[in-house]
Amino acid sequence: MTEILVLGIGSPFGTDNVGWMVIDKLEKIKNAHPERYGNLSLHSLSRSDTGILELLSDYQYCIIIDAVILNGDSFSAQDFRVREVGLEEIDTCPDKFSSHGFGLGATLQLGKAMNMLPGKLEILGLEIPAIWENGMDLYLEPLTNIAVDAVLENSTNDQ
Amino acid sequence: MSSTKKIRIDVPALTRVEGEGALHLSIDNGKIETLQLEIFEPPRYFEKFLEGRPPQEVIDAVARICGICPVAYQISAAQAIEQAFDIKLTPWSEAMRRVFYCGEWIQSHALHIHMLAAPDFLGFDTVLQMSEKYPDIVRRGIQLQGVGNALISLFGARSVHPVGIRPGGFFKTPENDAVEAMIARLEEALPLAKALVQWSASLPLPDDAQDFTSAALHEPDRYAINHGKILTSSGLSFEISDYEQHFSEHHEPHSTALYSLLHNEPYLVGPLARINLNFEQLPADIQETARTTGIQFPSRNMFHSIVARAIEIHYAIFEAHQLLTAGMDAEQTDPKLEPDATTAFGCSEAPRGTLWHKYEFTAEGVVRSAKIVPPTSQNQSRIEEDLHNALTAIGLDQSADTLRRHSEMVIRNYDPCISCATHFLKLKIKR
Repeated sequence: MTEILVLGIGSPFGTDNVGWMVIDKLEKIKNAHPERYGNLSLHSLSRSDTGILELLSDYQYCIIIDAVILNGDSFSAQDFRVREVGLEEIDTCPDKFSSHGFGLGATLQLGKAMNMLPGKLEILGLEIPAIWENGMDLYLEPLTNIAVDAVLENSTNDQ
Repeated sequence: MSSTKKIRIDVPALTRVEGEGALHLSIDNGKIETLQLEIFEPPRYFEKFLEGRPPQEVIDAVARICGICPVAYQISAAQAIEQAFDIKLTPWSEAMRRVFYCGEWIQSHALHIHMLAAPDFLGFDTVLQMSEKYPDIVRRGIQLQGVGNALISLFGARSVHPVGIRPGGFFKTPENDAVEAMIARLEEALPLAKALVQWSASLPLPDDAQDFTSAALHEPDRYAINHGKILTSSGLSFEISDYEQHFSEHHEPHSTALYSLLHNEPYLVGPLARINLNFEQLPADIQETARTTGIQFPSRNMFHSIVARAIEIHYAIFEAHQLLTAGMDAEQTDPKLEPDATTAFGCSEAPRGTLWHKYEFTAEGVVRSAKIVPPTSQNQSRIEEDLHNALTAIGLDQSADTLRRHSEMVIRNYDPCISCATHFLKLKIKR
């Protein structure tokens, strides 16, 4: 089986923790079915600067899971989606909310320039609103389940 | 899949403690009238968050103050807690705390040298641009950063906001296989670090000698990291418990960060201050490599900070390897915490400089009050002083863009956290 690196990126707290939630769920599934999902190397990370490039360069296939901010005023359940994000879509501008201005986008662009990215890289964006409202937590469970299914399906298809 | 909605990757707000900077510069008749570095730095709230917390919660909470130097915060806090509760570390725990700290120096300095500072000196706006011409240099930075992260993970379970420290030592002793693998990585990294020292000194660094006071921890028999007295280049030497007799913090209207002064004067903390004060405490091999650069320490040129960082990477790899191969028995104690109302202090050398903690504990053994003085606030006055000198030296009649670029280079030269802020430096010039 191909070793697949799965990175859940974000904070362990707040709504940015969806990447960690997905990894937690995948850990349980992997432990329950090691014969099927033992090839998944699961990591939760709260920093996405150049420190992840060494890790990425060790794998041929990587799936990154991160929260993506939805812009807008109001949201309903169907707005909370999981979507595949292209490398070119990620904002590579220096990000004042990330370590030293190094966000995931800048890190991946540097990795691409340095030939340190896996041959196959998928970025799953879990869309959540920038402003969180009471009751929205209910959407996180189904949202993260969709991402878990997507990871399992993609990894199975790669066998 | 496609979408017309604007997207960006969300990252933890916690890292915002690294701050945001702006520079306000007023030039009148060829002279600087106003020069104000503005930093928005919210970690002060942590001191309040810590009130009422028991020791272990303090150690875990302070790790969250900074995503780059969580080990420094944890070790300074643990040191104070161990003093307060009269806990003695075993020789192994003491040595491995030092190894843990070396990991933080390596990862933080490698990131700063290669990804943040080097593009300034080589004429690039970003490391992405630099990587086209210097891919091997960037790759070396990534490799060294990885070594530092691996060391932190070895003891802290993860490299960011590690969770391995407890009063008296660590929660877990690393497996022998993991230690052996780490030793191999350090051996591989040592020649890279040696080459880095030479390379950093070969960069076209501006020649800008200035007068400043250096301050750092000092131990007579080894290069100080997490123990020692505070030493200054002005001739002071005192216990960390006397810190407040010499250093004072105050607010300036233009900055949310506190300013710290040494007897009412700016001073420098960080790698250059440490090398300036403690060069003789470095091992002979490290001193020898440093001397081959031709730079004399103590140095008055702030731009030699990048060389000082490289020397500290070389030292940290050497030191971590020495300690991990010393054949020590991995003994740890599991002390009971006996509550007592007391005041205790912790101090260590974070990558960016001296980090001082003071805690008052209640008779129940929880925090009554906490005071944390990070390197950022200590260097702030020195940065403004440096900017004043450096901009005057290059000529105030330079274009706004030249002044902005030079200001950014001066500020970034100090500290990765401020480097973060100054990626967005907004320079407002009034002539």
